[in-house]
Amino acid sequence: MDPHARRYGFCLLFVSACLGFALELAHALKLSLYLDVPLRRELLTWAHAHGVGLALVMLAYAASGITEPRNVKRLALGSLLMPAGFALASLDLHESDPGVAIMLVPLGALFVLHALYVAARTSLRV
Amino acid sequence: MRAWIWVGLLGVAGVAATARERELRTPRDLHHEAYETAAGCTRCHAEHAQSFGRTFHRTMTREAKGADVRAPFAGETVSYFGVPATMDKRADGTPRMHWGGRTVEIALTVGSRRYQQYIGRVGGALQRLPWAYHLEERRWFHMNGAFLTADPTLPVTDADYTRHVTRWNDNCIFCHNVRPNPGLRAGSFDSTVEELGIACEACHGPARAHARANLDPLRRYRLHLSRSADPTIVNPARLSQERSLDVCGRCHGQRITDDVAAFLHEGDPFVPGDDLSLYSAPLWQDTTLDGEPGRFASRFWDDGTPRLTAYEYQGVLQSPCMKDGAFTCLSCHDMHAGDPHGQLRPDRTRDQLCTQCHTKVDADHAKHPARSGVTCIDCHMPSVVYGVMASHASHRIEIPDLTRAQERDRPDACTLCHVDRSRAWDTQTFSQAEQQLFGGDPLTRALTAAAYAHERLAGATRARSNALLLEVMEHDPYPGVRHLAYRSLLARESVPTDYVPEGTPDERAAHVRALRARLPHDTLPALDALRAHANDRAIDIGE
Repeated sequence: MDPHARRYGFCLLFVSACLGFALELAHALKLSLYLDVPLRRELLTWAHAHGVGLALVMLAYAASGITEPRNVKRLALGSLLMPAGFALASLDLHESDPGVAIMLVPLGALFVLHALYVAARTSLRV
Repeated sequence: MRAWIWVGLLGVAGVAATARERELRTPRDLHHEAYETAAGCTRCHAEHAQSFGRTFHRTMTREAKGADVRAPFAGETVSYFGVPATMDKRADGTPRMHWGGRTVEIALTVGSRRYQQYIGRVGGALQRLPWAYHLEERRWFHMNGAFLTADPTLPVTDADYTRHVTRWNDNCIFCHNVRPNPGLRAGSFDSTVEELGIACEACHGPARAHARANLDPLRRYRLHLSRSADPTIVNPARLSQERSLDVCGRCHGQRITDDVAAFLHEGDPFVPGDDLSLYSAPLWQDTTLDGEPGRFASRFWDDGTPRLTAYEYQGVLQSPCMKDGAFTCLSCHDMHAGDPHGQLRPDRTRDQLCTQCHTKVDADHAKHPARSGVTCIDCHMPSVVYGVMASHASHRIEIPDLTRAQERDRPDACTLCHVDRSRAWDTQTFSQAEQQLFGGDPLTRALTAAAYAHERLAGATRARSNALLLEVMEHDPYPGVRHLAYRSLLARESVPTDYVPEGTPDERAAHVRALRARLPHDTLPALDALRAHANDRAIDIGE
């Protein structure tokens, strides 16, 4: 198992799970800052979901035995940018548009897609 | 090679960014742009659509279907001076009004706050029908009761009964819908509106181009980050004082145009952001019609202050507050927040509406103790305006002046509250309010009757107030005056709600007799001398 990928995967999973816990707490405490702003709820939910999902992808990749250091960095960067973009964009809403940090999401998606492409290509060769 | 690709990409991005900058800096002529309708606006502006959707503006005109029809239409029969009307629904739910051998199917409803009027197709046009439903009082009333005209002489003629049956196509359509066009062609109407009711584009202008341009996320974020104005849409809060006032003044300031035919053929050309005076001029006391002077004089007090609703624009233009160059309707009102009743800005108390500019007001300025609850508005915007069967605050913001009120024969803020006082501030047989209640013209009488509902009325005894209001309810010849006297009595006493201000003299006498039997009331001095001064004239409210 690739130690870097494993370390990063678990850290991201932990942070994303913490975010999930915070969102549950916001429901429990009826925080209007979260509950009353549908777009903010959506963005934070996506931040949590993408964080958890990409962390699991990273752990699966770490266990796959086909990791490449550059591709681990690529996937790590993408899986950091996407949830961070959703989360940061929820702080500065413009009516129906998320904050400008949402630009990080497509950028992160490109890194993730590239990393998955490389992983898929490698898996076909092995 | 790779470097050249990057240079090429950056070059394309630069050209695109420059083109966008130029587009954002270029003013747009919105006159020929298409409309989007509120459904399109809601896709991006859900919060604003929701906040405006709560307002009475939004539900001003509706198709007469389902829950938008607020009257029962359950077969009820009502009567005006012996002429009955029956309200029911067709099998498919279409509401109908029957009177005098006629049956009219209701197509539209107009009004959603105080009362709902019904529009039906009569002949080749849509007409406002003679009965409306009072939403607050939950009763049908004849439209003659909403205007300041006297009771008809018996027997009631069809002309009396249908006095306020007016054509929707070239009247109501203008202010109660988006992009109204009467569509008059060869004597018949092919009326169109972009949207029924007052929707987003009534104040923000046609939005199709705005919606399309902002499908581009980079354009949107360019606007978000710069906070600069989008030339494809109008934001009244960003307009100059004059243009911002024009947006509201188009409907809240009755106007006249030199080219009525163009309005009837092509519709109102005004688009938010326009100079309203390019198309029409506000009505003033001395405005002439076809060279005839004084045609509109009865709509103003002698000092030129508007005394009807839908003249708020004129009142604001007369106000000294205008001089600061920043005062607009939005200084006090917010179309997207606050209580829909009045739509005052929720971020300020009533006094803060004034003290946001008048920051150096002495504590003893008002000469009223704080506990009295008297606000700036009570004295500086007195309720000397009549409309939609209620009294309203004047929008000519002014300093109260009893001498001027005396000279110009108009009610004043002081004696509309201190109803036991004369203008010389002594107590006479009849106070100023009582003189107005019986000796004023119908509008003065209506406003004075309404003043008795004021919870902070000073110097009024229960027995004297009851006697005055009951006297008006029984004998005033104007149903509009009687209605407000009755509303004031209801505000002060717990009495049955079955009195009908538009009823016959016999019906009214019976009701008032019953009310006198259960309510304490003084015996009033003879009123004949006061009534001799009453200037009983129909107040041409105009529509």
